[in-house]
Amino acid sequence: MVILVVDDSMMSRKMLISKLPQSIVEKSQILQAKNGLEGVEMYKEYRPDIVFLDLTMPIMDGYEALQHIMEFDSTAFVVIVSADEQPRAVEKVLGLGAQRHISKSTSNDELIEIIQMLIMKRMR
Amino acid sequence: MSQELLDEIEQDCLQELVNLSYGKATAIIAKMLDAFATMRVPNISIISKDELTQRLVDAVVPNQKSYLTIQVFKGEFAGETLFFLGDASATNLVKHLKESQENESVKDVVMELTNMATSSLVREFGKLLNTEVFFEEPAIYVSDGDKLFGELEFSYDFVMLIDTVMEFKEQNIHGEVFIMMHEKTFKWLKESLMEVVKKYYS
Repeated sequence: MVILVVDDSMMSRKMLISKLPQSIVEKSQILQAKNGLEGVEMYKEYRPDIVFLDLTMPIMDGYEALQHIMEFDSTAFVVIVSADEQPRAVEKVLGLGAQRHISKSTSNDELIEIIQMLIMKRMR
Repeated sequence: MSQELLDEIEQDCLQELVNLSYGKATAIIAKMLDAFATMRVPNISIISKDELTQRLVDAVVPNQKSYLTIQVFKGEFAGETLFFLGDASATNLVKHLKESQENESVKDVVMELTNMATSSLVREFGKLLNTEVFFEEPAIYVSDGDKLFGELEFSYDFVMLIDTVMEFKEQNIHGEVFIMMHEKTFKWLKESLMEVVKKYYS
């Protein structure tokens, strides 16, 4: 599995990766991008199975990056991981095609559930 | 200057912790206003007391009122928050809350809401660093545009400035938040950041 983590904060990228199931991490290629623009470019190059995307970032924010990714690949599996927990932010990203919006303080269980959701979707 | 006092990893860690706590505080205010705030990456810098005063002087528009809510917070993480709001934003805030536009009401509404924003921000930040923060009663200063918050005196020679913007575009409300602290708190903060860094950056 190819996993792309897009966040301007190294800490947030590491926190998220540390919460992913070890069995998945060992068998996956994990890519990291520092802003939305880098994330879009890496998506086009590597076509990851799943993207974890932050919203508040310099150069290109997560909303714009999400739009670009969905325009490029309407089947992209993008999960927003953000400190912005406003209901309208959630509605907006789901409207743009994100699969889920999760808090940066997300649990390991929620991430496992998301990976399972992705696997089920790919099997259909 | 902050780059000299915090290394790249500490800076990244601090910025993200502020971002996380700012997200929680924004969600509370957005819910109260039934509005949507645009979140920005916080800017962290070390400035002198004089630079801070200059920042406020620059922000004040001549012949217009400006509002500055101040609150002291205590504990291991101690300092003072400032929330700056211009006249147009303050008026729009009150209009949005359908309150009276009398000066007293503007002042009251601004103080209540800005205080809620800054105290939530600081409380959440403290929680992330496993410490409890205690607040003193807030105060609000109104500048008439010529005199800059006359009674105001900052005792911070060493000011770590966490500068964030709380912006509700649809409502035309734009505020600036500053968190000031002394050197002792900065040392504590640096040690606390080291703990987080050890946990996540290894």
